[in-house]
Amino acid sequence: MWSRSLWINETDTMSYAEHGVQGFGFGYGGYIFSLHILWSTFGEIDQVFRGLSLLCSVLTMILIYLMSEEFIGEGSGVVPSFIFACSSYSIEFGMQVREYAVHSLILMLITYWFIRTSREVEESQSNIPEKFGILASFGVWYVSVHWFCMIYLVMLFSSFASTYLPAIFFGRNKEELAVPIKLLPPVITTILILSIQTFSMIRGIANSMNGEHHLGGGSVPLVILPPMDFLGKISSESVIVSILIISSLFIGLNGITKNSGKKSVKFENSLILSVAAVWLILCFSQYKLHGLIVERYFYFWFPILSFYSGSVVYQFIGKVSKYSRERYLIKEIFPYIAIFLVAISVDISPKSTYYGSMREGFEVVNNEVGESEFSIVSRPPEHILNYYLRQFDLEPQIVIGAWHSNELDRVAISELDTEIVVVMALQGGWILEESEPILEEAGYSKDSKVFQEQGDTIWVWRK
Amino acid sequence: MIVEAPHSQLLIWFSSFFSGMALFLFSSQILGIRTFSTVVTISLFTFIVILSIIRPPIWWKTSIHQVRIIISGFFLSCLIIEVINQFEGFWPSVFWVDVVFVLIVTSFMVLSGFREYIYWNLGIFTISIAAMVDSILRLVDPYQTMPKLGILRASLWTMINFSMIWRGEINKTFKEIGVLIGSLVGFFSYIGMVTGRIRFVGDSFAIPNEMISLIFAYSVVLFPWLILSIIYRGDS
Repeated sequence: MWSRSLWINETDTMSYAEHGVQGFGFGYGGYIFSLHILWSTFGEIDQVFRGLSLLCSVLTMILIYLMSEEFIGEGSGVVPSFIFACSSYSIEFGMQVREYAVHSLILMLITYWFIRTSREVEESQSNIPEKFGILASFGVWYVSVHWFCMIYLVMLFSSFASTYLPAIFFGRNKEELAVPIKLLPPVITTILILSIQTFSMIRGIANSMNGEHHLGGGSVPLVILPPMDFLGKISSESVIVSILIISSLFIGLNGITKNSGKKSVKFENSLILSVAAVWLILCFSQYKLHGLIVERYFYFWFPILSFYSGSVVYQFIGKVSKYSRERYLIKEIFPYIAIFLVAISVDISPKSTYYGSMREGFEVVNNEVGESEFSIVSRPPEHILNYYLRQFDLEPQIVIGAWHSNELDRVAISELDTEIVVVMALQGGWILEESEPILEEAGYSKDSKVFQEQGDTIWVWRK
Repeated sequence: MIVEAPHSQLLIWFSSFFSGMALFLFSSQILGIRTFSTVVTISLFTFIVILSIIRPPIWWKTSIHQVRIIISGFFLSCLIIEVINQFEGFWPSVFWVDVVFVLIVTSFMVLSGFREYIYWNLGIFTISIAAMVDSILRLVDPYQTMPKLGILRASLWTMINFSMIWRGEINKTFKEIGVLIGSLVGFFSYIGMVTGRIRFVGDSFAIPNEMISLIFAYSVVLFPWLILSIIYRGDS
């Protein structure tokens, strides 16, 4: 995956990154601008853009370890960070030139700051707004371009707010009700951004229920990943990991009921329920909302889910070591036993079929067309191809592209008059069947299939 | 409540005003150097402010009011020359809005009866933030160019800003108030110049979407912190 060329969704991302500051005017966020900075600094090197995602994934793994050690207990960090690192899910998204790895790191950092600050406030009652927390507000803005990141933040803040509900509605612990001021600014930032986005979100849901892509642009099919397959993907088909994930839910519930009568409820216990809620909502809504890709959007919750799985191991160690004389030995050894069990049970096979070999395909096209005038007919649209067209200095006279058959400009294809027409089917073969009769009528004959690999096919037609 | 300045203070004010008018009329109408008035005014002002912060002369404390009267007269003459230049069809100087703001702050201190209640440092700090924000917006805007005088402007106000912070001339609460109000004034200045609402020459242009997005981002990230911090410190 590391050495493969970018695939169509990644070159789509890079087409946004061309714009720089103007991208903010089109609604592109901080991640796209970060790519633009990397592009301007290092040039078009695929590994640089992949490297950003990989770096963020590694940092997320380290953060999971640190959070677990700090909030759950010493010795609990190894298992959750290992679950995250060796998961097909995180490997698949961890190197993509898309916002998932970067945004999930930022969301996890915000979560860490939120939990830590809320605990500090409980202990020391220090309420002076904190300058470092401005980074949390900046992080909120950075990720705000993706609606599911905003949903994550709403759930994080709601989980926190829910700890105050007993005091507000039942009068319990009212005298200790002290809202930590320093946590409010990122919440206010989220509310302000959501107030701008709400109308677009409602329109997106309406589009999706009507069979269109949530961002508009034509009808898309339902993409279904059955719930148990979804759980299998998250757990890398490991029974051990599935048990840890499900058990963490019960530990969270137990934590809420145990602490409900106490002075303060650690809101992290409520947060695990939000993970479960999102999983359920995605599982059910995928049958109604077109274009909803559950595995992609749930990725923002995967680091926190890995974090919570550590709590299971820690609780287990705590229970067993109570009744054993060899407490120290159990605390030291058991995490590694758990890692061993996870390692032998996971099936690390990240989905890489759609990666294709666009770069090699364009290299072949470059050799085929030489100095001749040529056009391109493609699935996907033109802007997806620009990244590699530039790298090979290819200048087609015209590019006629579309995502779906109903968007294809057939009239333009029939009017082509260049010496060569290159037909590119990248991760979708309908373009070959649709364009064939039109090109034959226009006087072209199919020369050869010059390239085929991993779902990418390229044909050359000559006059 | 407007309080009339005493006779000697009126004399000082008129002297500085007419001196400025004579000098700037000569430079703009005879020599044709249109930006002379604003560049000299702001540069001198910067020099005076930084000197007063870093190494105030012995007579500074006793004569500060007279200094502000001179600044007020001088800046008014600069403003009038700048307006004349614009009506003659010349593009406003990059220091145009700074002249207006300094004139407002200084004149209010000089003419009103509330000078002992007005925090001069807060006014200058706020204008420095406004100038810095305005300069950054013009630098980031892909449809604007940053002339050399724009860089000079940003440098002068940055020096004033850093001097005030470095020497502790402004406390934390007033710093936050200054950043908040200064940012808003900076947005107003940038938007006003692009749309033509605060100049007398040139066409009106729309604010690019990307700049609106960035202004919104800056506001939603920073302002909640500033407002809460100001309120909390006020309560404390």
